[in-house]
Amino acid sequence: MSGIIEKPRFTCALGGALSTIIAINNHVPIIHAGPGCGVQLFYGQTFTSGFRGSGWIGGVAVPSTNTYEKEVVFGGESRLKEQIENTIELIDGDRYVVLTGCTSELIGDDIKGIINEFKDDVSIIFAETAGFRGSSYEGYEILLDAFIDQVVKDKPKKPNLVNIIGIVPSQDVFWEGNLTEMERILNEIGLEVNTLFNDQDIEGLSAASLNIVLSPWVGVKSAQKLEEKYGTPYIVNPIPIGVDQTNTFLQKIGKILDVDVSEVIAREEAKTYKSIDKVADFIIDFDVQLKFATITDSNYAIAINKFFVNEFGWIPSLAVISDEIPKEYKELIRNELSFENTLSPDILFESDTFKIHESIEKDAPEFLFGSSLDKDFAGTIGATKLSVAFPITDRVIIDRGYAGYKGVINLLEDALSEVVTPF
Amino acid sequence: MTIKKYNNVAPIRDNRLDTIITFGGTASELVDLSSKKCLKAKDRAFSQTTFCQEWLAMLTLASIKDTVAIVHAPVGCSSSLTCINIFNRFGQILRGEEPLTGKWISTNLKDSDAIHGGAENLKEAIFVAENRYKPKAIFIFSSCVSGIIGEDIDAVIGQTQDEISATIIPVYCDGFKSKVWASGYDGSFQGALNYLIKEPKEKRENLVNIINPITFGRVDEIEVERLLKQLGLEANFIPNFSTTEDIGRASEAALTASLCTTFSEYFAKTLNERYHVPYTEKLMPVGLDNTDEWIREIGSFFGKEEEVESIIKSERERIQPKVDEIKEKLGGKKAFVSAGQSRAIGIPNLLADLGIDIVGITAYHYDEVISDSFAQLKQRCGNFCTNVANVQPFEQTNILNREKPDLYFGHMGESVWAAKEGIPTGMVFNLSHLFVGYNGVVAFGNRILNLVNNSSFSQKINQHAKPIYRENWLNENPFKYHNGGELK
Repeated sequence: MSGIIEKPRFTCALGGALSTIIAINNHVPIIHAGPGCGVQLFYGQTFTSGFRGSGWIGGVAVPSTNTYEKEVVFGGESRLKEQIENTIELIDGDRYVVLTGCTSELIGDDIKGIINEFKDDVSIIFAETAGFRGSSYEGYEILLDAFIDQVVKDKPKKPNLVNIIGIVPSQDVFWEGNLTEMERILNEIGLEVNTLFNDQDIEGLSAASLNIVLSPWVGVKSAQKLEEKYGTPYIVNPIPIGVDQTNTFLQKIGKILDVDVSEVIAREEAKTYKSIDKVADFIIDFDVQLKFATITDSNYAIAINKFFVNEFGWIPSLAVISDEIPKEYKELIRNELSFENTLSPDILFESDTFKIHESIEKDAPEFLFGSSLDKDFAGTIGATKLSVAFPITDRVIIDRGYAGYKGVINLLEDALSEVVTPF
Repeated sequence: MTIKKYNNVAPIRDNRLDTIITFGGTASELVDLSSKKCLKAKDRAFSQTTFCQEWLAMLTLASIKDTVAIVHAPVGCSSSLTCINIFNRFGQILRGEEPLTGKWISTNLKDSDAIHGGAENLKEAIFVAENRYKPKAIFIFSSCVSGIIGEDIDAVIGQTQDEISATIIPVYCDGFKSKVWASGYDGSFQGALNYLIKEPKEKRENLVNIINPITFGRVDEIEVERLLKQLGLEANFIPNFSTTEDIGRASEAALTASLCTTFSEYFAKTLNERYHVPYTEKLMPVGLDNTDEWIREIGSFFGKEEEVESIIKSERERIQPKVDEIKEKLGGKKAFVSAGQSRAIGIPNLLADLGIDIVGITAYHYDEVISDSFAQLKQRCGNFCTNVANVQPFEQTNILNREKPDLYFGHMGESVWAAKEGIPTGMVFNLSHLFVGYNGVVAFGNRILNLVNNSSFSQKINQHAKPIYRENWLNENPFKYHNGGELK
């Protein structure tokens, strides 16, 4: 039996896979599921990540078989076949991706057999993303796995090409800004990057010289698979925020790929601290050394705690990790969140919003990094709150990112603006 | 424990009202087929995602204050509650209350539960809801998964209710069971009717139940209160932003009137069957004529025909100069409207009051609830293009390119696709702006003036949007993918 969750901070496998597909250029999702899944997950995943809209083919435009009673009783294969045919007739995509939902998986439709009928004419794949298979993060992993099994071709290695995986669009509300910054810094050290969402092709994921898993756990299995199939090494490096973490990240990459990163690091570090210096007076004059808690997924928990402890002098209290991570990764996360001088935050692995609030209340932090689900709660404990984690309905996010050197300036502007809002 | 007298599963509209979700043609053709009872239930050979009845069921009950929602499903099926919560909070703010986020729990069904059943999760969720919040009622929403695996929610309630002080209410709304998402309203109201409505302690001769969808703002309710007050009547707004007690006393009211008949018709009929509270059937007090009819029907029930006529006369006299002023600026513009079936009648009537021509309408579904008023609208606005579609923006894009309206009015989700065609776009609901009643015509008109005065956003979006559909789609019959019927 799985645990019940009050006000979950992720959606289902289909939610993660769908938000990923609509973020990839010219990829056409075809949902094979009940009528409401696409809308539920647009308003429940994409739109509630800072009001992200439909884009080219999201929202209510997503092709979907909308299976009803007839399909549940008699099977949905003929409906799916018809839907694929007509989707291709209507919409010109580089690739069509059938995403199965709970109904079609429970009734046991043979998806593979059906898509094989179309393979001569178009690029088409499928991913088994029924909601009961897991969270948004797991849906992203299932989709990535489908890409590796059904799309990626054996291509010659490009020494300067790296892949970034592990960032789930919309589930990471700053995914796009974060990837833009990561790509920028990697370009600075002379690397080309395939993020899945830029101009690089998915077939060529095999051509990278290194896979960078930008999360403590999401995408690790895919990186392992790519290593087995194509001999590509990988590193697992949670998303870096701020100078220390980004420097370490670049040094790690530099070492593996034998690239000198020292000049870039020096330049970016100087630039970033020239910016941070601009708020030094405010921080000092107003004693802005706050006790803070985080309610985020493991990726942000590590990055935010590390930055605010190691570079900004704040005092961590509790890091709540809400992404239902597999057991085997918990130790790694504990290690990442271990700091000197008794500064390590307490760690709670919990997805249930009531339990989260109950445990934070005891700690009485002055600042809370969380989601819009924590708005009322922050008020009751008198904490200042910034929404940085899904779901977010109290901020609008367009291209903003928190990763890397530039991102941390955004993060500081946003967090400190919350502090001065009453004035 | 509540003694169950009635079936907990409401009949779906597909069967109860012969509701259809697929039609394409002209208004005359629809009126003709409908009056001859020749409308066929067609399907689509291509479809885009849409709402399911579970979504609308959650929407119906999400803002009732002293309740907790349990969604018995995988974790994704409750995800939109974070979005619905925006309306919930906004609605509270507009009522001068401190906004509070709603309370919902997912039973988080996983693959093993899909095989072995999720009864244990459901029981846990019930106890957790009780212990954390001591609510008056706990709603349990069913889902595709709970339906397909045959979860016996009634049985779980039977096993737990004795230990729980809250009334546990099942809401049967399996997404796949109805093609008409409005069936979800009925599933919700069935739960409320079976478990919340009390035998009347007294009959309150001046109390009118006003069934309020969450998409009506407080400003709209104030307009309704203003009109009812002139007749000496008091409104009991349920279910949105109300309490279980407000809903419970619905049986004491003298009458049930609706802001959206599509939303409330099952509740109103059933309340009358069980507790003899008569109900009105006029669609929506939107637009001058509709508002006249709406208030007339209420007045005639209370024997206040003369008072009503005098209200109508003075309201009309007061509002007409303002309407004329707007009409002068908007007269002759062409509009397309997409909305739920009641609003798809109400908004065009309002637009016609302002001299705007109707070139096309999409109604999310069609059935007897609107057949008469649709025929009247056709009489008033001519033989416009008519689409019945559960959103389906691909059909809409095609139609908009044929009809080339100056203005578009629609709901969340679909309207952006009209804006991407470069058409100035207004929402058919906006919680902070009035559209109900006499004052609503002027308020809505003023919003349209803004749309017309500055359409730069839709123009710019249009210039930079990449079309979804292949170019030849715009030359095809927009209803090409309707199954089982000849092309119109």
